[in-house]
Amino acid sequence: MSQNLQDSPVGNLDLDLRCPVDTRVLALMRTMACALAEHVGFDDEQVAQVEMAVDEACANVVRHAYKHLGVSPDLPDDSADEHTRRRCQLHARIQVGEGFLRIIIADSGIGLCNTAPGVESVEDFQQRGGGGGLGTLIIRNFMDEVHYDFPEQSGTILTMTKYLKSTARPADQGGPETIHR
Amino acid sequence: MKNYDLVIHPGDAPSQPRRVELIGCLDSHTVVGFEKSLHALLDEGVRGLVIDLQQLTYISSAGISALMGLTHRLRQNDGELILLKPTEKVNRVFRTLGFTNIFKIVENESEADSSITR
Repeated sequence: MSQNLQDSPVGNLDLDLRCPVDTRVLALMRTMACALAEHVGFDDEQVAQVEMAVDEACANVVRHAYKHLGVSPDLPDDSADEHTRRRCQLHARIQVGEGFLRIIIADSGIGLCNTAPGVESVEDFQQRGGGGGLGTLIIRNFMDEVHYDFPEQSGTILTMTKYLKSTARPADQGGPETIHR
Repeated sequence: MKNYDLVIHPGDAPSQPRRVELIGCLDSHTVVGFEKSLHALLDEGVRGLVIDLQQLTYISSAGISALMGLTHRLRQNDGELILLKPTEKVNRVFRTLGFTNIFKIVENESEADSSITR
């Protein structure tokens, strides 16, 4: 289902979502990312790249952002109380424009800059015998623009954009967005 | 199509290669059960694994990392992990990221058999 945005009754979109940090959210985020990428007009390969980039960005938040508070699928279920879990959120903003899709994934956690660094290459990953860190490499490879912000208060704001190959990048929409928490 | 399922075919002996079918999505949610099941097989002494990827619709970095961990562990014990016929979508991810040079990927069962008994 590939559809030109100009023919769409929906047109441009600016969606704002808040989700619990739970791995069950990942499949829903992927489904939405695919639908919106198809809506923009990306081909199957590009849709799959957006799907994977969104999944990796969200998985990083779910697994690492709130680990210091005991909230992570890598920790036992009783590592955090219900009140703490409810405070830990993933904030997604998705902008669909003429020939581009911009996804902003934010959290108010420890900050990705304070977690283990990602791998620089697949060779680096292989030498480590697997483990983590491949997600950020995938995001950088699969999206056209990737920008990380680390606000002073806390958290990480990841802004990633993918353009239709034939679309010139809009100059007034190139900078990082501010996401309000 | 199920979101995730793992079918482990019975083997005659731990020394015999085992075949498993991976169905649906392998992501940060489903990878926990996948790793647990397959590392349990390796704990039993299995040294050859053929993972059938014909029904795998999605793999994330967590899934790739799990496959990497299994490959690493098997090779340390002179074993091998074979990935059988990944879907085009999954194979494209392997290809784009450079994992076709790392994983042993085959296109049919006879090739899998000969690769693992070699």
